Amino acid sequence: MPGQGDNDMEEQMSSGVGYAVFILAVLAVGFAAVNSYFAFDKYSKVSQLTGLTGSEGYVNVTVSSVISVNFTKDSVLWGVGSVTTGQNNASLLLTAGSGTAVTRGNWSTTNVVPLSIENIGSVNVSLKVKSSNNAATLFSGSAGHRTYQVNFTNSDSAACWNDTINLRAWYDANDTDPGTKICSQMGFLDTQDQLNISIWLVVPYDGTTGALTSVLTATVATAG
Amino acid sequence: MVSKISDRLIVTLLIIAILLSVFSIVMTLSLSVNSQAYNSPEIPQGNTQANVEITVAPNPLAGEANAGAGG
Repeated sequence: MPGQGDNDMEEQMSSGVGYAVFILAVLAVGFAAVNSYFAFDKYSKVSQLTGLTGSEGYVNVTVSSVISVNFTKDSVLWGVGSVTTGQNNASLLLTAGSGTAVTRGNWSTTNVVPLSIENIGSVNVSLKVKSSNNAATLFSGSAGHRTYQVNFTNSDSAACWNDTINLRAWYDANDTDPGTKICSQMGFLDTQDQLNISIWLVVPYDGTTGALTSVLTATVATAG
Repeated sequence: MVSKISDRLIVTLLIIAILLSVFSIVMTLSLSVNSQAYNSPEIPQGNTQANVEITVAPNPLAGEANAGAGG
């Protein structure tokens, strides 16, 4: 049985203001419903990252180790040169900290710098270096007049720990797998993560001529 | 007169309610952006090879057969 209130509502609905109020009310309820949906939906997912789960919770963050080294100076480019007339070989010595020296040959030392390798990962690593050549396969020529040696030195203090070779000593380039183990632990902290590699070449007078290239490859693994 | 004021008040309140709802939705959506899981950055792949290059020009006058000196 309709009462006085129903009559008032019908009057208001029939007026412009009453209709506007009705539309706005419907919109308000609609927005509120959508808002509630998003709020409940996202609230349950917040705990996945923040641990905001009520009385107790936890944050689960996994930090992966990164194992990676990088030759920050990756090329030794001796230009064109030859063994001095009458000499059996030429020596090209490139040492970190001591510069370059060419004897019995005429190669230019301009812009020739030692190699440098850096641990850019997030853990200490063991380091091995293998060469694609030794002196014989790089130069050919007489055995007594050719040399291809490498020398590892700390660029950063204590970058190479528990070294299995003697740093600052010369070793023949190793072309056998898996290469020579240079460091049992190479640091990753910026203050101790870099090694220099010096190169000593002795070019025989009777060796292969032309462009000769050798590739040094570094391999790393998580330090034990 | 009283009825018009009351209607306007209701309309104003409803508009405020709508604006608040919209604001709330925007805030909720921004929360979803902030709470997205961050993917791990790409592992940097270092350059693990270095080259030693030399070009040897022939010198027919070099060697033991010529002067027998040095080295």
